[in-house]
Amino acid sequence: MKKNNIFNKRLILIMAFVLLAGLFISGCSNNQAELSELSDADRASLVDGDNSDKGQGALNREIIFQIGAIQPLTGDGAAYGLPVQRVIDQAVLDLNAKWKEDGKKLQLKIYHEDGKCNGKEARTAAENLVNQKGVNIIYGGMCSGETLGIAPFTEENNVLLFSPLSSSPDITNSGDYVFRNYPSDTAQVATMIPFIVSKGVKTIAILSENTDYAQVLRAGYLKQLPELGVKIVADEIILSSAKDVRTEILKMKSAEPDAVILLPQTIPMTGVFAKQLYESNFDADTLFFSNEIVGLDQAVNEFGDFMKGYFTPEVAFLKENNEFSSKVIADTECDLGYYCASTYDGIFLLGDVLELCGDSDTDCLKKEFDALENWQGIMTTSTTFDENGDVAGDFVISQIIAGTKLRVN
Amino acid sequence: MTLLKIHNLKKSFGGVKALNGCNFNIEKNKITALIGPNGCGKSTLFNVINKLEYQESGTITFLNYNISKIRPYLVSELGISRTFQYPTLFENLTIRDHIEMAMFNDDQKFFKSFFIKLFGLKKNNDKKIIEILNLVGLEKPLNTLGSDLSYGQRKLLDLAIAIAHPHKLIMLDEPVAGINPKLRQKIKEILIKLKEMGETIIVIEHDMNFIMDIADHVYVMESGQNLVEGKPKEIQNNKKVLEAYLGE
Amino acid sequence: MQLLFNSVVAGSIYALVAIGFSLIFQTNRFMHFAHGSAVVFSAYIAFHFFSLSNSLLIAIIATLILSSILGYLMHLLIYYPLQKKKSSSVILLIASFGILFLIDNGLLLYFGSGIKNINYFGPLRGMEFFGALITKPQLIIVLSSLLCLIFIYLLMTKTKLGRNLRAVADNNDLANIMGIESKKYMALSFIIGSVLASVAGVLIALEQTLSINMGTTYMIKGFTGAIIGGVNSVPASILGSYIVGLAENFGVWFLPSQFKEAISFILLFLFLLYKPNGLFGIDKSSRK
Repeated sequence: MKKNNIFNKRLILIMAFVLLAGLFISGCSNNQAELSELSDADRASLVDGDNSDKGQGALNREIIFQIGAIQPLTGDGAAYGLPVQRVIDQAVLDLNAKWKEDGKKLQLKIYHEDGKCNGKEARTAAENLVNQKGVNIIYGGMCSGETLGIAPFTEENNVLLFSPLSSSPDITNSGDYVFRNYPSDTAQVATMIPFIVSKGVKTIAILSENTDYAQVLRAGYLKQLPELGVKIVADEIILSSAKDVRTEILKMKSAEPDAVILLPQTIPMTGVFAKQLYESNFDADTLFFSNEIVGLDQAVNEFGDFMKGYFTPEVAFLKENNEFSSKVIADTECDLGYYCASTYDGIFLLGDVLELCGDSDTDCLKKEFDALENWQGIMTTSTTFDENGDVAGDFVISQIIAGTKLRVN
Repeated sequence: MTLLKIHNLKKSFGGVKALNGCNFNIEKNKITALIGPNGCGKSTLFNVINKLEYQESGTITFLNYNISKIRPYLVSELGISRTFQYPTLFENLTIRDHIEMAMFNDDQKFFKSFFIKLFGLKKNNDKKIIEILNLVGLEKPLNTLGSDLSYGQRKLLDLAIAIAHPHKLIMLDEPVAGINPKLRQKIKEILIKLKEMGETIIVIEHDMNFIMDIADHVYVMESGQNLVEGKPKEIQNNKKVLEAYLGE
Repeated sequence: MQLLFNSVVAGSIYALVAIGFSLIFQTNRFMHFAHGSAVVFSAYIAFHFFSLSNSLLIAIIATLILSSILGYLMHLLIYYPLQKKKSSSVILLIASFGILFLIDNGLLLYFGSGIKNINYFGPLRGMEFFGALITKPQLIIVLSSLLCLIFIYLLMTKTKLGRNLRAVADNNDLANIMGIESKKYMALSFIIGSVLASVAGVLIALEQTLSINMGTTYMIKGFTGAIIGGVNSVPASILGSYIVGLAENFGVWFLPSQFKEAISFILLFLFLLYKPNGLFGIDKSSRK
């Protein structure tokens, strides 16, 4: 009988080694790119609250404010969730450093949870933060869906919810303890519509992702454009898991619209829309409008070649020519424009309010948030909350040309 | 000369003792019959020899090799062919495929079979295949799929495969079950011819007339054990056999 | 015409996934749902090696090799030990989900969630072809899939290795009795299946931005194609995959686009309920 030695243990070990070697051939450096650039000591200090004995003399931290942050750390939303997480961590470090420099015995401690850009997941994350970590302030969600998912829970449990990025109009009435320093989508639609009409557009097609945020924008366009004489000739809603939207684009193209509005939720979906629209050879005169996701620096860097001439809105509260913000953005590798600024300043705003209250009492925090007027951020201009916890919205419109954005209004 | 030796074989399925310490010696160039009531362990014995099942205890020796624990394909390599009670074929392979696979055993070797043989370069084995099919009397085109054969034709192809496969022992599990008398007669003639050619055959059957006509030696099983053994005429008139089997 | 071409492009990827799945199912007799992970693993490996070497050829070769090793290791380290213990197909199915999660999360851990894009061809307009607009990547997808399908067809029908694979898939016991070492062919089916998955992965990476969960999406589509065509037959699985592509694209022409994913599921349920052997599949119920 022949001895069968082809698949012996040695060969298996060699094959397993080849597989692993192939995977690690780059020296395992890539996977670090997505993590915060903070050093281990800095990271430890954010969570443990202990940066006092690092050879610099003991510091007696008397008040430690604990907050939770919810943002998409996995899934397509992570394309902005991860940079936002880095910005939050940097902002917390900077705030703690500022307090220390000012001689204030205060410290902010943060716990991150993954909201996955999904209301249900975000709510679970909020429950973990409140029930297990004991926080009563949540910074987030970043996606509107996350915030809308969290709000009922935080309202029930007297937890302050402060989002630096969520824009759904539904958040306006989602609770007394809900605040955001990002304008509602109604403001974005209100800015874009006159601009669209001013371009002489008579027929328009809408391509939107099936998420809370994108659908709110879509609803705004569907309602208001026909009132101004612009006919909606195609309206395609795409599931977040879709990778091939060519047939939907074909339907849009066959309706021969003067313009197309793109409403993706995430940067990867921006790529799907933009690439496949580009390949579909729309008429050269067709205009393209979008939401602010398309205009994020990361999206323009990745997919700018496919988005030539796109008109995209951006919140107007960014302080221009700000060296500090350029440094923060470079250090945290956050190429998301206003998102980075709003997130960073939001921590400082929260810090100021916590300082006024002296503790994390939610009612005091709410009172101070309500009373806030023209708060000046490091990267953003004035913030004032209205009776619903919203900020007023001003948008500017840029056009994507040669991989950059040029202001057009 | 004893070709196959089975000693104290035991095999259970759950609480049921399919084989309960049976012993057999299969002599070369003989047709040995294995009879017994339904469920007495005959097919299980075949499966254990073939290593489609593994015994719990006992030994099986074939040509002085202990084949108690080896893999099924190695049993085949050693030279044991078999047929199944219900003719088992590859439904999606042709008659030609079946016989070729059976005949050219060394082509099953893994890397040797890897090379593509395209049209015109393939070795033509049709002549040899037709010889085997003529031996069993199967008259169907070689491209016929296994799924397109009738029950009787499947029986014949099953037998042809067992014969085509390089072997020293053929095990036939109820070769004439469920077929018409004419075909039965044909198969009887084939087995007698094979024996005259020097083949060693074990046959499981219920048809006593069939057994009487072809067997040199008969084992009778009951409840997974040997009951009696002997020449066909001795078995036919044995009281124990009549009680346990024929008297049911 | 454009609709038809869109369907063919989609169906080509699904077919590559479906053949591998179908082949593994036939030879091993259980549903290997981690097959989708092989697709996404391949896509990420292709991206990884392209990023390192800037050579598509190196990326393709590395992907094919590493994916085939992955397929073999999945069989050897997880499935084969379970099969040796005569575990039921349900246990093997559960194990396949475990592997799926392991690989997906392993990739997420290693590569992170950021955007991954090979972007080999740069911005491309569609080329006019009998009334349809086709891009280079799409043409490559269709042609590569066709070549793979032809190769698999020749391998399975014209070679002894293919014949032996079909024999093991048809009747494992009989194959063993005829001297075929079925264990090796069961392992080989994983290797071939994973190589096909790697081709799909590379083609996807050339055309799309990568995401971890796309493996599950393609697995479902490929599985649906296999069921519709007939999971017991590789040619039928191919045909079924193109039917899924057609149904999705033509369906969404007439229905709201949110129904695109639902179309596959509806077809899947209908076939599982009323025609589980598929349109062209073979009823194996008469087998031992």
